[in-house]
Amino acid sequence: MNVIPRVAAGLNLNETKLSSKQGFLLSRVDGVTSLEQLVKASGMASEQALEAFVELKKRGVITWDGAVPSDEAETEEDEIEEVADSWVDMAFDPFELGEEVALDEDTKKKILYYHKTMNDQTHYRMLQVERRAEAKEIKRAYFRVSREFHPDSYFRKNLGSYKQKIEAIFKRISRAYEVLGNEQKRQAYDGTLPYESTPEEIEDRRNVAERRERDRALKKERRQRLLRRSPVVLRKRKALKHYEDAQSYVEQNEYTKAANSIRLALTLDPKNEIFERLLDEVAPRANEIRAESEFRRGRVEESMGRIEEAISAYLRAIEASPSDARALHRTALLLYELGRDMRQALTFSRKANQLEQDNSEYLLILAKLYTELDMKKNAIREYTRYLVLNPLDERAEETLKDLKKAVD
Amino acid sequence: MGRVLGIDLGTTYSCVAVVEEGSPMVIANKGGYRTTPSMVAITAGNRRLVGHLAKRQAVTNPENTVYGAKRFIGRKWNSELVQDMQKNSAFELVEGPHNDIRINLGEKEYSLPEISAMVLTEMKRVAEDYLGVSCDNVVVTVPAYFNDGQRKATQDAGRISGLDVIRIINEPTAAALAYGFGKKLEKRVAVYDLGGGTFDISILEIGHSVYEVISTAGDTFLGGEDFDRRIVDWVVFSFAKEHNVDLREDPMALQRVRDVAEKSKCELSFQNEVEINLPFLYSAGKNKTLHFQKVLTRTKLEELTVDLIERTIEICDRTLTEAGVLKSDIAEVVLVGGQTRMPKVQLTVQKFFGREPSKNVHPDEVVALGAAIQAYALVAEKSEDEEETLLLDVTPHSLGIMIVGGYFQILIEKNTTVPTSAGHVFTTVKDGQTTVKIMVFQGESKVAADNELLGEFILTGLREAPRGEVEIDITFEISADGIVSVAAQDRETGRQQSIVVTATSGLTEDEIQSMAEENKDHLLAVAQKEQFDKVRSQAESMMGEIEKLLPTVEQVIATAQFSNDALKKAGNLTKRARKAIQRRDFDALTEVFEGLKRTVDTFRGLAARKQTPGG
Ligand SMILES: Nc1ncnc2c1ncn2[C@@H]1O[C@H](COP(=O)(O)OP(=O)(O)O)[C@@H](O)[C@H]1O
Ligand SMILES: [Mg+2]
Repeated sequence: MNVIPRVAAGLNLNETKLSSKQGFLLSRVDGVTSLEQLVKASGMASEQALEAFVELKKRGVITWDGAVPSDEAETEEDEIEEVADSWVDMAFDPFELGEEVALDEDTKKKILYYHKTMNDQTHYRMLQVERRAEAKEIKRAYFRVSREFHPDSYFRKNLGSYKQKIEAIFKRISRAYEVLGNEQKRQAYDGTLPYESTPEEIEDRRNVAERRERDRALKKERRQRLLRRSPVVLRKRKALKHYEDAQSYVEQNEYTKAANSIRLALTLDPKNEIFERLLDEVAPRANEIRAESEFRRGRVEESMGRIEEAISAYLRAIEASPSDARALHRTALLLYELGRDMRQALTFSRKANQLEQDNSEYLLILAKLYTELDMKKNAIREYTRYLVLNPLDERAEETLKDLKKAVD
Repeated sequence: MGRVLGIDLGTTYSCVAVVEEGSPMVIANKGGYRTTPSMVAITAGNRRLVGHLAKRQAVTNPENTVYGAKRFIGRKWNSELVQDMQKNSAFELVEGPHNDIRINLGEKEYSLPEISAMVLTEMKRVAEDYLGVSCDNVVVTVPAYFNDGQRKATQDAGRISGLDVIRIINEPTAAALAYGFGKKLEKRVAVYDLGGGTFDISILEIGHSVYEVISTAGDTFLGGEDFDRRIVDWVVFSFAKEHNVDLREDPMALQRVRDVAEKSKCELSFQNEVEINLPFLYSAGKNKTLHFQKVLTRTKLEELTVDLIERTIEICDRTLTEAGVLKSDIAEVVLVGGQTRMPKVQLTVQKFFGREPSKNVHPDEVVALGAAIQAYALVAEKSEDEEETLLLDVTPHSLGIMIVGGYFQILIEKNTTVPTSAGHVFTTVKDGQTTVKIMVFQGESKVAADNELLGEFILTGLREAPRGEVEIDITFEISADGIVSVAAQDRETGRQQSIVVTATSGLTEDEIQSMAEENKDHLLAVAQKEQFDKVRSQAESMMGEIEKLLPTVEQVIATAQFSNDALKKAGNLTKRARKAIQRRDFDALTEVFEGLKRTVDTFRGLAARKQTPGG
């Protein structure tokens, strides 16, 4: 940032509308001091000051030659401050903030802020890095934020309820790094993010700042509203918010998310009948969806020959939807083929056949399991049923004959 | 919290370090040794010996001398490996009440944590002698590949010794801390740690003073002692071939072979051959004793141990592959552990990594230094310009539970950064079911039973409801020490669910406390004995002087016609003192102590009269 800003030639200050902040910064521009020094001397957060100068340049109020060089160390510093800003105006619960622990107020605020927002933050925001950051920067950022939030940095301090929060934040940070620190996982994750980062770095930051400004105003307003309310009402309101989320998820056919939101609502307002009704409506579908995706996963695993994983997936499908006949059947089949846990397999197979009658595939496995477990009468019954549906299976017929002989 | 020590509780040697004025240093014991043998012995007189003293008498008292206890700590009695190793031990292993291992010494059975506690107590004493203040807080190291049971047992050892183990850290990680201390590095390093009983490999990313373990693996049954054993086998085999005698049946002879095996192995790191010379090794009948004498070359040793070294390399290879790290990404290889002094080990490692290992660390001391650095990082108030050291370590084993079919479902993958946690939801499968059993395992096998069982937990008092309706959230936590804990909560009511631990091989709380009490009693007895001995030797020297002065004093009294009260009193006092010494009665001895002192003064005064006549 060694460029030297100058006031634009022929500028008519009376015709230019500036905020007081901009006016102040402009008054410092003397054609001698470098941008770096100006930013430092501004007394503002350096990112803010820098943005304001860029804005001034854009509007033709000041000029300098060349682009703003982005020094690496410099950016890091800016980043920290950028995030440091975020909690300044956040609404804090006075009880939480008042808890007597061995932390100063700023640290408390930082922790509360991260803890409250961490589930909505992207991995990038958690590590305080930009979307475009290189692997090395991400690692450095991870190390830096780890230092801030690793429980060891507060070793054996009296932390009260903050202890659990710090741990949760650190785990969240590790999770972020697990993804961003791995090229493949990072790429996959980037694909899930809603927006692409804009090409112009400063521009990008400005947008972020603007959005934040808006958020901040909104939050401030909400805080003032909320502060007037009692904690019970607050809880109910929060619950209602989750409930509304759930409703809109239902509209979008996002049943898994809907179920999660409604569960959150219920933890805050446990006996609300409206919530319960919605849960009753949503939960089976969410389970179905989960069962479906686990079942598909099972098929994929199976096709790759990873039988154990396949079984686990099917079991999870069954867990989600105990009446998923396909998953029950596949589990039974695989266990039978592995020759393990026949009794368990039988239970599954029986259930599958109960749920879906006259499925020849299902019947065949059931028959085989009965045979294996030496329950001949049942085996005969099932083979007979099977052969009605599939009369051309000679091997089954043979087996049936043998069985009948053995019983006689 | 005062000064916190770092203790490397090694299989064969232990070492203690502390950070003084910002720099880490090893503390030598009074004999000048910087490491202490991890040996414990109980003598015929039921005296407890630790360290060099224990090692010195090992040959004459092999059955009551424990070495390499770390190989057994936290292991289950019925594990195959333990049963196997039992055959190689001169001391007697017996089954403990929790499927754990106990060692029979003298008239008592000791648990492994008690044995390690004795070593820890000794290390604490070494530090306190040097620092002159009492030190109650320590960071203790364990092999990275230690599982939960082994870590818990090490913690128990700390508690029994009366120390607060504020953290357990992994040995290779500790080595990396010491290697990078104050260097502002930014690179990836591999730590290859081949000690007396264990092998560990860890890959770390160092960024200034943050140390992130990327991946770690190892073998807790592979170390220098295996190299010794190959030499022992070689000697035993040669001896059998020559004399048709099995040395393994003679514990004393075997202990001599063991000693010489290790010594020869170490010498072969610096020279090309050694002569193994064991005169009068085995007495075969009346007047006949057999000797052993043979040359062992370095090449022969390498031949005997090539597969052991190969095994470490295989583990390195696997670790790198699993971590997705290329050999060329590794900027430095750090060698730790005494066994890495063997030139063949160094060469093989160099060949594998394609670079010469770092020579900047002391293989016997880095681990303790690293532990001290971590201790300091955790508790000390640092000055502004000191960079805070931060460790981001991982769990070496996958953690999971047994599911239907006996399968292992992983909840926390190995090499996950700790502290970490994972949740799992259990649902009732029967109507009105009120308990759920959960079996927790650590390991990598898909079949649960092939992994290490950490514990069985039973959730009790579930509310009665139709099946599938009760959902219990179970949270599995791994702390920064790598230790696992479990908590459960009813999803719907949010009620904390009680958990009963029904199977672990660890000591019970009661046992730990009574062992700690015993240890305290022991230390008190030792302290009292030391004090008694001090008072006794002073009393004895005073009595000696009284006796020497007696003839002179008698003369003076006779000529000056003093009353001979003084003489009578002196006689009385010495008699009482003798009795107290004989009975080892500390109180009685201190009672007469002052009297003796006065008598000496009086006698000196009287004797002086004779030398200055006319006075
Ligand atoms: N010069 C040497 N050459 C080969 N091995 C050695 C040498 N010095 C020590 N050792 C071996 O190193 C092992 C002890 O290493 P150490 O790091 O102290 O292990 P631990 O930490 O497990 O006690 C012993 O088996 C010892 O025989
Ligand atoms: Mg060691």
